Amino acid sequence: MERTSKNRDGVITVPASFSERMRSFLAIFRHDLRVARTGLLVVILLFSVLVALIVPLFNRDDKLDLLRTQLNFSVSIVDEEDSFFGKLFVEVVKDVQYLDKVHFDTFEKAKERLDRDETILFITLPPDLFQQTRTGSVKEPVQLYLNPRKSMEAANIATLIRQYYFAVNRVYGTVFGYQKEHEKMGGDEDESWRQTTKHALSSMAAYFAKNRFVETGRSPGKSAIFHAISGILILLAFIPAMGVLFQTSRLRGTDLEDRMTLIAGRVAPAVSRLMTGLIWWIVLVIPILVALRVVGILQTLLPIALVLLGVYLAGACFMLFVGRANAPTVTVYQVGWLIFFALLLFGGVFYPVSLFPVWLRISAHFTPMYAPMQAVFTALTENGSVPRNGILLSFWAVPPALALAFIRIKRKHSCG
Amino acid sequence: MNEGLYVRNLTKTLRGTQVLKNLSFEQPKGTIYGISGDNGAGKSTFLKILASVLIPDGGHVSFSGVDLSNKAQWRSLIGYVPQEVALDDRLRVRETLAFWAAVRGVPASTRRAIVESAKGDPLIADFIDKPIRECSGGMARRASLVVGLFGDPALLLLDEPFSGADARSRTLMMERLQHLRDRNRTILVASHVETTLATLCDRVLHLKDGYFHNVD
Repeated sequence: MERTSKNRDGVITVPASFSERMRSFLAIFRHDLRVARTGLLVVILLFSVLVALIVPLFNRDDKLDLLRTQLNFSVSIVDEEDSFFGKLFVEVVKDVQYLDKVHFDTFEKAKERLDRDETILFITLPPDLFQQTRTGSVKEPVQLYLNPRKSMEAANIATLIRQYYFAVNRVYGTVFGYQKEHEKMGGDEDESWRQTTKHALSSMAAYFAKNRFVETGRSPGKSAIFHAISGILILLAFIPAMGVLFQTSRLRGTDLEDRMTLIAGRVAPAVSRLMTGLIWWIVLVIPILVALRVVGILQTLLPIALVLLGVYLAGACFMLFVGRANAPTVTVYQVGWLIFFALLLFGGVFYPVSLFPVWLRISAHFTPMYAPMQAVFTALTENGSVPRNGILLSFWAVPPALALAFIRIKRKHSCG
Repeated sequence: MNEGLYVRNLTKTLRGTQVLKNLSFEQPKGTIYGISGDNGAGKSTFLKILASVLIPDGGHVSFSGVDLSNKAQWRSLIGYVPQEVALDDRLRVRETLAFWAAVRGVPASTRRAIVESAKGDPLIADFIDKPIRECSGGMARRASLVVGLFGDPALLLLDEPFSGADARSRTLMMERLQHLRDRNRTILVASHVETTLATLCDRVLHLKDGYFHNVD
């Protein structure tokens, strides 16, 4: 007997042709959308109001500059003697990326700036610093005055400056021979020391520019606000996957699922759930991306949207797999939320992974949300552009998650 | 045998318990057979296997020359009314009909015709505009039966169809089933209420300890 979708009276019994299957799928999809309709409308309304309120606040150049500003800091240098070393110091540190501005002040002026929070610290150079560095005998140290209202940032920069001086000593030692040669050639000892000092500072500053003294990811090199926005976007892109989990787990093994399976099979309802989740994804993610575009943070939306789509697809397929687990619905929910938060945590959404121990940090790089988090962060700091490999890496978890979901859906403990 | 329902040596084990042990029976077309048994006897498991929701561990099942393993063709022959009402209680009865017709791939014009003709169906005509959640147990059962009858299946499998139904609902449903039998449809009804089965069915099989008893 040939396969047919109609009985002897010509009445369709189960969808078999492409058009019948499409009608069947669309009916399920429309029904799922109808169930989600109220929630969708509430979220659309809520997001519209939020975006309408927030965008004008950030749609001013000064606010945008605030967002774009990296976490750079200003410092003052107090060099009452107007020494060669002080001038040289200012000259070479002004290119250090963590320092926004270096002021050359008197002690009173520097204190005033500190009190006005214009700087996070100031440095006093002793009058005979140049002589001290030449002889290696420290009588009066360099003083660091930290801003008590920005103690954490000031401590970070103070650490850098101390490393700076440590580096000076090291480089000084290595170029000592150069100083001797210069003295022989020119015969001017002061000039040879100046040249040696300049060379030492330049060499060390070059190292600073290469971040040689700060481990990548541990410095506050980028805006914390962008990190927060990246985390929110990843979170919102992932949340619709939890809806897929709820729908899958709620229906698993019920008579309603049996009835649906007998008529439409297992794949169409699963795809419908994925599509409904995609609608949720659009409602939750796209308004924020558009808002970021309007305020000028993103120049293009496609790369970041693709990355966030990868987040949703990987999460949703994996939750299709989890949702069909042979366990009570409550247990499945708990496990689903545990996986949700674990993936976000190890993806660096809540905290930068650089805060983790080394072994955990390395492991976190292989979790599904790490690459998307990095890509979204890059997009926010680079006007929306993401390297192609960043986009591809954001999708690496989709094929295995899809395979798991498919295997589970078609599992042969029951007919599918 | 007129190529009716043919079940031979059907076995099924669930969670370590052998629920069905080499079940065998034959049912001619155009008959109503009842399956009785206590709760947990395996009636629902048996019907779910026939509905192709569960896969049997062993045995052979065919109807009208179509084997159960030929899933697509098998499903085009059967109608299944599960033990629960298994309908979205947010939908009205007419919306429920339209939805399940659409899931079957029925075009919109035909769906409208189905809903129109349902307005004259004594099983649901009284409450066709009511949401399922506002229907009584009997009304919901009747709506569930009508959904199961979509496509005019040749083999109809009913799991506890009268559970929670009042006397009028039971009567209406039984009349519909007898009418279908007269149109040469084959019907298998599982219920733990043997008196109802005795009234309705041409033959009642009692399922106990994984075997059929009282087989004529």
